[in-house]
Amino acid sequence: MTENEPVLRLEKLQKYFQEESFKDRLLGRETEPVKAVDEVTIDLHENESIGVIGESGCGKTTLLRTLMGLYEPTGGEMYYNGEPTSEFSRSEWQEYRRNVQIIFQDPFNSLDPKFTVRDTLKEPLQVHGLDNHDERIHDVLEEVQLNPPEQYIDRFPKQLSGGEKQRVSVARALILEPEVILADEPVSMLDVSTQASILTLLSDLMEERGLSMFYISHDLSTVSYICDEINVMYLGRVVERSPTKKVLKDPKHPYSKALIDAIPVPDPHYDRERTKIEGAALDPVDLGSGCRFRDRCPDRMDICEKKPRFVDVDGESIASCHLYYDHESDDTAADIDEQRLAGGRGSSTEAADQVGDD
Amino acid sequence: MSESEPILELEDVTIQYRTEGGMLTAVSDASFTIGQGEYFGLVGESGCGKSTIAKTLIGALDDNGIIESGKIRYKGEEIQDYTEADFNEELRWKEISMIPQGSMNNLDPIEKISDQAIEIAQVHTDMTKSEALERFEELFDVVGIQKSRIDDYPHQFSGGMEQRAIIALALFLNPSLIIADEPTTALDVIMQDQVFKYLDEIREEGEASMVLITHDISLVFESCDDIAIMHSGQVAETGEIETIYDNPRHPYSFMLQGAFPDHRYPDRDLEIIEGHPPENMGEVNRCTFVDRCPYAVEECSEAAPELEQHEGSDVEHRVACFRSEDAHEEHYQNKEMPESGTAEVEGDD
Amino acid sequence: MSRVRYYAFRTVQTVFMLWLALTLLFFMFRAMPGSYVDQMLFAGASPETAQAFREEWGLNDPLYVQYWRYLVNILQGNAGESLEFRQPVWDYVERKIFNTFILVAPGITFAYILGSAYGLVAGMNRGSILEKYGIVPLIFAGAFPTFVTSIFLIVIFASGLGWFPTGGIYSVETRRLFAEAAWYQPYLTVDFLHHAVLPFMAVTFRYLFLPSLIMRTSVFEVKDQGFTFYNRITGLPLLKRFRHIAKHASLPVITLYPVSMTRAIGGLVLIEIVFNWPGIGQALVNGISARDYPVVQFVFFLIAAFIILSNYLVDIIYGLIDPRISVEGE
Repeated sequence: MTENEPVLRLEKLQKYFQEESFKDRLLGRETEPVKAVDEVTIDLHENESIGVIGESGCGKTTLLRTLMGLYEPTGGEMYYNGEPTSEFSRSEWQEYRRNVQIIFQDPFNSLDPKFTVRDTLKEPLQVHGLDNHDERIHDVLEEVQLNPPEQYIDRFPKQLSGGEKQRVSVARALILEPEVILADEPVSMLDVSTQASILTLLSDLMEERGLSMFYISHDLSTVSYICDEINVMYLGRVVERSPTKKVLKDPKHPYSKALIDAIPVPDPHYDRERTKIEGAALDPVDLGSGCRFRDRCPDRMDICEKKPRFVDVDGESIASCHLYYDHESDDTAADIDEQRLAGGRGSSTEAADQVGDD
Repeated sequence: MSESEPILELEDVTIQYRTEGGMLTAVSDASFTIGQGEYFGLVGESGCGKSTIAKTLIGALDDNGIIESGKIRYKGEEIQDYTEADFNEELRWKEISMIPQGSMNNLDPIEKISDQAIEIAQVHTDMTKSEALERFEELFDVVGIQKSRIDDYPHQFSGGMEQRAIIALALFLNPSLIIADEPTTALDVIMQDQVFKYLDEIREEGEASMVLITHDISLVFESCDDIAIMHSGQVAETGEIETIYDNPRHPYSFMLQGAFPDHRYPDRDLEIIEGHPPENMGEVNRCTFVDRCPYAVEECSEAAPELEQHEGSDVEHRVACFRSEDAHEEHYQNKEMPESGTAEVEGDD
Repeated sequence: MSRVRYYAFRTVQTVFMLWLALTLLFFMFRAMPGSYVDQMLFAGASPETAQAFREEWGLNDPLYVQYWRYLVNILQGNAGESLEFRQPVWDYVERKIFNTFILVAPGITFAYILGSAYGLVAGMNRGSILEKYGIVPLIFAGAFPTFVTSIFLIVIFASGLGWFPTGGIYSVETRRLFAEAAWYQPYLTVDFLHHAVLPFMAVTFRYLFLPSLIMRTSVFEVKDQGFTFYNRITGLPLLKRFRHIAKHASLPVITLYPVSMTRAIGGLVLIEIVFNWPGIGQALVNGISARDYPVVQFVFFLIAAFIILSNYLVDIIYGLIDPRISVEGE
């Protein structure tokens, strides 16, 4: 068990949406809620970088918005430095927001086109009542390698390239000296040659400043440059958690496997088989209580009608899949305590030590 | 390599836009050839001119754009001077169709999808309404959308479904050339694979050629027969896909390949290409990659390099680079890395 | 809330607003200085006559009693009696409503059709002279006070060129001709049309610029949308593409149409006066000077009701036309 309290802890977090159609009202039907995030438990420690990967509709965006405080959780709890956010006062939220910053996906739409770089960076300082604006702005621009800062300070977003805009977004996230960065696909809208430099920048900054990062993406090929550990999400649930390299080399959950098998390989000599998965993911409504992947899973069994528990597969990966536990003897055994591989640190040796702990 | 007549040929095509600051050159002396039944990948970063070429091929260049020089031949016929009427009568949708970028915004939100398909069919063919619907339903099967959704409105479709509907529409009238401009950008990796599975099948049947325009080189390496790599309006290198992969001669080609992550080698350092593609005003008299290229010499800023067949290859393989003979070798000496195209990369940097 | 619940809510809201309008008008008029009785006295009636009048009309009762009586009557379809004309308000006002309507409806409709077409052409030809400056004469015409426009029209076309009569709804001959006939007969004559032209033009001039402006801007916005590009590359001919754009661009204009219609109903007062057109505007003005508040109250209420009801209708209809409109969930 690690000694530090995680910076952010999500405990069986739920976010459900209620949607009723006209027909339902007419017929007086009770509708099932859309379970966008369904009992997600994740810990984020200091200086740790955790990836949440999944396709659109998996709930990662909803998860991010709940982390931002935009949505109130329907159930479960979110703890910041041990304190539950459901009991936060206004000033505690202010403190939270200062310490948990976001980098958005779309550099073209996340900067106010009427603000210069200086204005964009000044605003958070003003909101949180910090002084010394000019110095802070100058320093942070240097940090994101927009050098010399003087050249960029008075520019408008339209005078910046995509990569430069994203660097300004990073600067804006850093200027308040946060503890945690939430990154929503920060490089997916950039050219490949720029992606590499932004990813390198982020990973260097994290080390230098001792930041933690929650990295949300659908692109598995870039996560290995940033994340220590990956959570694969599907329809609102985490289906696998493994160290990054492990997931790519040896995915356990059938969905993770399908995802990784579907990544195009930049090599014409490599004969990759196309995906065997059919159709699209269902809407996260009325899914019943079994495994949510069962309708598309190539390894589906009868038992999959029951919700699978989280099990430690080999000391490094944990997966929520019936393939990995013995159903005869296991029903009485304790679950890996609610999806938490205690400590949750990326390195395999630590994880191996902790198996069996609560 | 197909022996039959090429379906599309671009010969020294230059396309410019009239802007307040002067003539912006989006495409400069571009040449490449697409054979029948071939899938051709057109790759480059944003601003390289690939979308301009896409629009030009279907006659939808912006109002301020002109084809300044060069020839475009479709099935042997020169089309660079075709008018809007010519495009409507001869080419659009029956011969050449398109999957435009940002597919979700292409369908008319206040019309049913079936109605839009019927309208297209009735403009170009003499299919009856029911024939058109039948054909469209067949295509829904092909792209994996339930037939019952045919009378839906676009906003009732998810993003992925809308993209597949657009693909169905592109196939609708059995065109000979499909221009796919970033067809899977908004799709998830599994859905993208499903789409390419259908595109593979169509390729098997050998009926349509496709120009796959994308910034994602891995898609091209997996699914295309040939490739052209563009930088800021110029074609840097073009040819058969395996040759370009095994032996890239242009610095941009091999550096671009190096910038792409390959999940088989997650520890490999990614190549970083400094700067960004320049905007070109007026005639282009240099290699547009010169300011970003670590192997540039004086010649490179003095004249635009010609696209010439590389001696070392016995298949189609053209490069536009003054240093095509030795830049690649110098690069790998510097990096102490094995040549690209071979297996396992050792360790980390 | 779901769509049905929303419509139900809007219905209740509408009924409530109608009631509110009725009530406010009732009390506001009673609160105003001057009454019919005062007018009578001023005109020379004796205090006894005045008193008798008050008795007869129940004007000595407490206000809330009068109000309740009024409410009950209205619900039964009785709008009271005109103090001036000793005739049920409804009977007095009935034909006048029709007269106003028959001027407003064609006028606004024509303004909208013409204006939209103008806006459509302007919008499709962005940068042209028509687009940049063509709206100016329309705004010019619309900005003039309606009575000025009307007077101009009369001076030029009626008195000046003698092409049209200077006022009224139909000539005396027509009225005599149709004295015994059904009420709608006079409206079918050429004489009526002859009389209607100038006031119709006045209405059109006043309202032309709005749909033009809105349509033009709407076309700009629509042209930038993806589907117009797609329609072009799929090879649809110009006319079909035009039709699609027009359909999209007209949505905001359609919303505005009933709004203009209802504003016009109340706003025609000046036109009616200048042209001596016997509509509710005229009834309103006459009623006010006579302090004939049953009439005035009712006409004001009619105007308010018209506006409230048409907003309600637009809400419902728009949701049916545009399949994207849905009610905010959660």
